[in-house]
Amino acid sequence: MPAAPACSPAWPFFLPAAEGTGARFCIYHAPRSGAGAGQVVSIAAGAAEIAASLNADIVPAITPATFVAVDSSSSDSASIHGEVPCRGALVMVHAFAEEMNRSRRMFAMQARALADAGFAVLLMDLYGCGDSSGDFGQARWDIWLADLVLARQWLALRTGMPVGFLGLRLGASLALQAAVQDPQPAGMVGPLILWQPVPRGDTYLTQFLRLQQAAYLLSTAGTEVALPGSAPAGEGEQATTLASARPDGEGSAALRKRLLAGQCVEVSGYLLAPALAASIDALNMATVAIPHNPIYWLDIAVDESTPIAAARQRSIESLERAGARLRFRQVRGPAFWASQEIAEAPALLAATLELLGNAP
Amino acid sequence: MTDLSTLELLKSILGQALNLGERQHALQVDSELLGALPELDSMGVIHVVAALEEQFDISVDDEEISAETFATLGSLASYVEAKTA
Repeated sequence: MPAAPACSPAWPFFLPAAEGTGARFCIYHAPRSGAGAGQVVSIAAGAAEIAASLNADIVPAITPATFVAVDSSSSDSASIHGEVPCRGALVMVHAFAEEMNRSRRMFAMQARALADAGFAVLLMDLYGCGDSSGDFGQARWDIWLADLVLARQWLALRTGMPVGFLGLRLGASLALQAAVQDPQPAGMVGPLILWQPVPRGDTYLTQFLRLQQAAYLLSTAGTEVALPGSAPAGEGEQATTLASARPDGEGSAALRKRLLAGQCVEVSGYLLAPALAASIDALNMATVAIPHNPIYWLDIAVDESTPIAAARQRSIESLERAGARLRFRQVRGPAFWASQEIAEAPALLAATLELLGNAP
Repeated sequence: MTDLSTLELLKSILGQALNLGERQHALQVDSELLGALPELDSMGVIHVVAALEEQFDISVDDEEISAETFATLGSLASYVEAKTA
């Protein structure tokens, strides 16, 4: 009979964030030993007290016995009794709006796989997203960047290791900017893993705004597809009544006009504020500031050998020309952040682990 | 007349974008898309449009995202060929 795990595999908690922005829902995965001998989390000496004050009443499941204080003169993290030492730490940065929801399984799988491989992982719902404070309409790019800085600090204090980011789609853009905004001293620079990064924010915003039009298209097509908050398809009179409840078929151009005029727009049940739309619109990998971190750009395509799309190729080359230390890998798998049925991309999990394993 | 290679490329794009699995290979030129494929929800439509823009290096206008364009695999292929001609 297999033994029960010594501690729960993941710790959920709320992390107090910047003044006036409430707290962020987080899940922490401690690095695990494969033999299930128990979970060991190493903390740099002197940081234990700070960590404890940050986490008072937040992570009651972690008892002092599970921490191993590291001698400040030692550069090793804990490696006692065969437990896996902490190899590194990563903050996972989720995708935007509905893409976040559709990629939850992949994020959970990646976090567990990373923890099994000896990495400490922090998942955080950004302001206005998931179970964190704030409504989506209140979210702002700058608040999200501050959230990531906070996440990095928390994980750095807990592990004493260089903290990197793993960002999906728009989360990748956030990760890049957070790394630039919050640079770390040499030796404490973590990797940036970018899953299917978004080359241009204006293109991305247009795609997001078009969801409204697509929803309208589907509501007028033969089969009624359930939209968030909508009633199921009816017949006859009920269908006529439903017509008035259908979303307007405003195109992206019309919605952009409203945003420019200072109006929030609702798309797919998400209230988008003009300020956030403007931040997204301005994103461009070709002109982004380059962080010192090693960058791993991972794309998921029809096949490993599918030619890279021109726009993506241009972005990668821009980053390289600007001095980024970049490695590119393309794996085969479904567009899991967009697929209706929860999809998995095992090749992406494997490639990520492999790249981290070979990291300098 | 729709180019066979465009059809095949479109099938693989749809298959990957919508996670169709084996059903990707069952798609024919007259296979209905919008309203018939359960995977083609609003996210699916937009993702397919984005994939078409990337893969074929074209720019899709708002007006071109229509029931006519997305009626069948054949209509989508005709649209792509017209944009890349």
